[in-house]
Amino acid sequence: MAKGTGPVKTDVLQGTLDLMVLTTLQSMGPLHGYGLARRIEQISEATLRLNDGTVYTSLMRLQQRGWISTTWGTSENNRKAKYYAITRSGRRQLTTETKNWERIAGVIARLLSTVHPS
Amino acid sequence: MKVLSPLRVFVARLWWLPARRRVLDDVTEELEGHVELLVARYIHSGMDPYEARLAARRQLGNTTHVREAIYTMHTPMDALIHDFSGAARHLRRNLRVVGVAVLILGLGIGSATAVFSVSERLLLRPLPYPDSARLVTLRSISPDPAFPYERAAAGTLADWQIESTLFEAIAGYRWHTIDVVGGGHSERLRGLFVTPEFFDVFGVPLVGRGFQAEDRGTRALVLGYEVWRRRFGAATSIVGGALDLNVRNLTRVGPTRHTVLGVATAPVRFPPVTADFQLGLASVVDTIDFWTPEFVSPTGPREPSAREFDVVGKLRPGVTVEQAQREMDTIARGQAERYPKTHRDWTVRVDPLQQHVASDARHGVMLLSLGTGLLLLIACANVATLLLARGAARHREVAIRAALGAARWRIVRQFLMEALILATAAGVVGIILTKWAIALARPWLPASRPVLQEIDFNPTVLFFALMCAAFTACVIGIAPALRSARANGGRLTGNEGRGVTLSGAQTALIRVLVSAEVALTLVLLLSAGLLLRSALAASQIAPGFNPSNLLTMTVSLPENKFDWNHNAVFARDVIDAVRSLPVIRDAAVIQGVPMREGSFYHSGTIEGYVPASDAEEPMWRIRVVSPGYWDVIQIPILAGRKLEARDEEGERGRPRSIVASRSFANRYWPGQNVVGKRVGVDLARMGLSAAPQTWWMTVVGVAEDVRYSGLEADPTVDVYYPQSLFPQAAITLIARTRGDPLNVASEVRTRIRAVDPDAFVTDVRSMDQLIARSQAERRAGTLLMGLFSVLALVLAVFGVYTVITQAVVERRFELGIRSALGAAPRRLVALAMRTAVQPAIVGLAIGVVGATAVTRLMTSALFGITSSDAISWAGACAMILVACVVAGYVPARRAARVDPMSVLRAE
Repeated sequence: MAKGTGPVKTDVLQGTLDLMVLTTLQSMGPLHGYGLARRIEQISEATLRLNDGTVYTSLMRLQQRGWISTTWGTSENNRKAKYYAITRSGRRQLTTETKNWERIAGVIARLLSTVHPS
Repeated sequence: MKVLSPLRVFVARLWWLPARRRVLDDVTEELEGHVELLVARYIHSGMDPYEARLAARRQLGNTTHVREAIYTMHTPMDALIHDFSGAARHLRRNLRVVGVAVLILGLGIGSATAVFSVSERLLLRPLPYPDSARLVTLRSISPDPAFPYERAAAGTLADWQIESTLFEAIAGYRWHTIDVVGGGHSERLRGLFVTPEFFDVFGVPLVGRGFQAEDRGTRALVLGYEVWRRRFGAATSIVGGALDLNVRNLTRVGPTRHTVLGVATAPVRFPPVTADFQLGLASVVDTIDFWTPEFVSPTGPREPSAREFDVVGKLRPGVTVEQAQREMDTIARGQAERYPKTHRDWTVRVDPLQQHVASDARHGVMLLSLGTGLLLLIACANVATLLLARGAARHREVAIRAALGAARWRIVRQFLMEALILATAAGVVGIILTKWAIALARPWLPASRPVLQEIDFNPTVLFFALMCAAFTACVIGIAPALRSARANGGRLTGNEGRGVTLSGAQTALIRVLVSAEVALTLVLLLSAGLLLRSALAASQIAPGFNPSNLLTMTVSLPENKFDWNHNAVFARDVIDAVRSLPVIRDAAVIQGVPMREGSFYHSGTIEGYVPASDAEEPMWRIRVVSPGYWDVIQIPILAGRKLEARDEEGERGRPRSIVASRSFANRYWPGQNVVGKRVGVDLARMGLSAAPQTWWMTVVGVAEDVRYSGLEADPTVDVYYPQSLFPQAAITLIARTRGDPLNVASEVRTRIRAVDPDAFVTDVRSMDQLIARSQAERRAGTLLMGLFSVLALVLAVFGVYTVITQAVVERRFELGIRSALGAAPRRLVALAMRTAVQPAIVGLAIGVVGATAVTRLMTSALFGITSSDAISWAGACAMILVACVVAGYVPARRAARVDPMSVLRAE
C-alpha cells in the first residue's frame, strides 16, 4: 500500500483485511496468496482498492498469531507456492470477531433507526 | 495460544539473521510467483507481455514496503516460541518418558549441586578479610617428618619482618585465653597474642588504636566486637579505660589491670591456621574476643621448642606467591647460614591463606565432586539412551517434515528445544533436591567441623546448578538432533517407515552410551568399595585403651584466680570429688586427651641417644596425668611401673619420675632395657631457671601406645609427667562410669562446681563420641560415595534394560521367524542376552582402565588397603555383571515368548 493515500491506512483497515482473509480461508479452504487476493477483490466488489502486497503482510500477521498455518505446494503455473489454511484457534478468533461485528452492527442499526424513523 | 498471541506481537526486537533472511527469501519467492500469476492473467485477458508485467507490478504494489513490514514483524522470539510450542507439544504426548528423564537428570544435577555447595563453602568462598587474596601463610617446615613444626619462633619472625621487601606487613599470632571473673558470670574469652602488624594484615576496623612499640611491657588489650557488645554494651567510653582481667601473673594472684587501647567495630574470625591446644581447635566460624600485644625482635629465641607463632603476611599489590616464595627461600638460606644450630635444613613455605580453610578436607571434597560428576554423566548417558530409543518412533515424523521442505536446522532446533525444556525441568528438580538435601543433612554433618553448618544455597550454587542443566541440555540434545539432521526424506518408504526401528548408527550410539555408563559406574562402585573397606579397617583399629563408658570434659579454673600451683591442688580435689560419686568407677585427669588434637611438645637430651645431626633435637609430646590415669583408661604397662602418688611429690616443674610410651622407647632406645634411663630438659627454656640447667628425669615404666591423635594416625611419641608437678591451666577429666557416661555428666559438673564455683566446664563428651567424631568425616564421605554408586548402578541397570528392550523390539521379526522354525526359547533368550552383555563387557573393560587411573588419585583417602585391593575390585565387577545380566533377563524372556504368527502378520 502506497503511503499517503489518506486516512484509510489504519489498524482498523488492517484488522478488516485480516478478518476477510480468515473468512475466505474458512469458507474456501487453503489458498495461496494470489488466490486470496483475487477472492478478496471479488468479495469486496473492488470497493477496497488494495494492492495485492498488503495481503502478504496480513498473512504474516495471522501466521504469527497462530491463526493460520502454512504448507508448501504447487500453484497453477507449476511454481512452488505457499498455501495458507485456517487453524483451530483461527476459527475461534473468527467466531469471536464475527460476534463482535454483529453486535456493533446491531448497535449501529438501532442507532440509525432512531435517526431515521421508518 | 490466546496467551501467546499478544506475547508474540508484543516482543522486543532482536536481530536473528538466518531465520529472518529465510523468511524474506520465502516472501520474495511468493511475491515473484504472485507476479507471474498476475502476468499470466493479464496476458490471458489480452494485454501484451510488457504491459502485463507493468500492470502486474502495479497491482502488487510496493514490494519494498511489504518486505520491510515483514522484516520488522519477524523477530527471533517468534522462532523460539514456535520451537518451544512444538517441543512442548511433543513432550506432553510422552509424559511418562519425560517424567523418568526429568527424575534421572534431576538426581544427577541435584547431587552434583549438593556436593558443590560443600566445596563452595570450604574451598571457594573467600576469607572474610579485606584483600584476602593477598594474604599468605609463612610456615617454617622442619626437616624431621615426625615433628613437622610449622610455627615460627620470635627471632625467626623478626628476621622475616625485617628482611622481606615484598610484603606490606607480616604478623605473628598465637592463641590465648583470658578469663573474666565475677558478677556470677565468669567467662573464658578466646583471643590472640598478636604482633602489632596483625590489625593491618587482617584489616580489623578499630575505634581507638592497635599496638605500638611504646606498649611493650604494659598490659594492653584490644576488645573484640562480640564481647564488647555483649558485656560492655558497645560503649565507646571503654576505650582508654581499664579492665580487670584474669591472666597469668606470676607476681600476684587475682585479676590484672589492663588498658583497653581500642575496640573492634566488626566481628573478626580466627584465621584458619590457629589452634588452642588447651581448649580445643578454634573453628573458623569463631570470632576473636580480644587481642593482646606481642613484640618480637631479632634477639628473640629461635629454638624449635620456642616456635609458637603462626605467621600470616599481606603481599604488596601485584606481588605473586611465587615471587614471595623465592624471596623467603633466600631469607631462609641466610638464616640457615647465620644460625646453623637452629635453622639448618629448615625451609619456609608461602601459601595463600585461603588454602588452609579445611585443608585436610580438600582432597575428600574433590573426590566427592568427581563422584557426582561421574553420576551426572551417567544420568545424561542414560537419558540420551532413552531418548534415542524413543527417537525411533520419531524417525517417521522427521522424515515427513524433511520431505515437505522443513529446514533441517529447524528440526534440529526443535530437538534442541526439547532437550532444553527437559534440562530446565531437571534443573528445577535438582535445585529443589539440593535445598532439601542441605536442610535435611544439617544435623548429620560432622560436628567436628562447624564450618559445614554454613553451607547454604546461595547465588554461586544456583549458578552451578544452571551450568549443570545447560551441560545436560547439550549432552542429551546433541545425539538425537544430529541424527535428525541427517534424516533423508527420500527413504520414507523403506524400513524407517515402519516407525520402530533405529538406524544402524543410532543403535551403535546407544551401545556406546551404555558401555560408557557401565564404565563410569564401575569407577564409582570401586571408589565406594575402597572407601567402605577403609572405613571398616579404620573402625577396627584398637585405640590402645578401653573406650567404653568413659566420660571426658575439659575443666579449668579462671587464670590467676589462685597461685599457679593451686591448679595441681584443684585437679586433685576434682578427682576426689568426682570419685566419690557412686556412679563413677574411677576418675583421673590428663592434659592431652585421646581423640582430640592438642598436646604440648618438649625437647631436650636423651641419655644414650646421639642425634643424627646437629639440627635435630629429640622431641616428644607431653601427657600430664594423675596417678590413676592408667587404671581409669586401662592402658597396659609393658615394663616397670606406673606413676604413683609418691611421684607427685617434689618441686614444681622438676619431676623425678616419668613414664614413656612404647613408641618413645623404640625411637630413642631401640631394643634396650628402658627402665632406669634418663631424659633431660633445660629448665631455662621452661622459664624455671635463669641460666641453662639440665634437669634429669628417670623413666620408671613403659606404657602401651595410645592413638592419641586419632585411630588412623600413628601412635605418638609420648612421655607422661605427674600432674601435680606440672600444673595445667586446663585439664581433661576422664571418668569411667557405670552406665551411659552422658547421663552422669550433670552430676559431675555439679560436683566440680562445688569444688570451685568459678570453674569452667566445657566439651562434655563420652569417649565413644570422641572416637565417632574423629571418624565422622570418613564415614560421611563413604556414605555419600556409596549412595552415588548405588544410584549409578540403578541407572546402569535401567540403561541395559532399555537397550535390550529396544533390541528385542527391533528384532521381533527375526525372533518370530526363528521361533516359527522351532528354535528353543532358551536360545532366543541367549540371543537377546548377548546384546545386553556385549556393551556391558566392553564397558567393564574400559571401566577397569579408567578406574585404575582414578583410584590412584584416592590413595590418600584410603586406610589399611591399597587402590588395587582385590576384594573391592572383584566385588565391583561382580556387582555390575550380575546387575547387567538381571537387567537383560526380563526383556530377553519376553523375546522368547514372541508369538511368531502375530509378528509375521504385522509385516
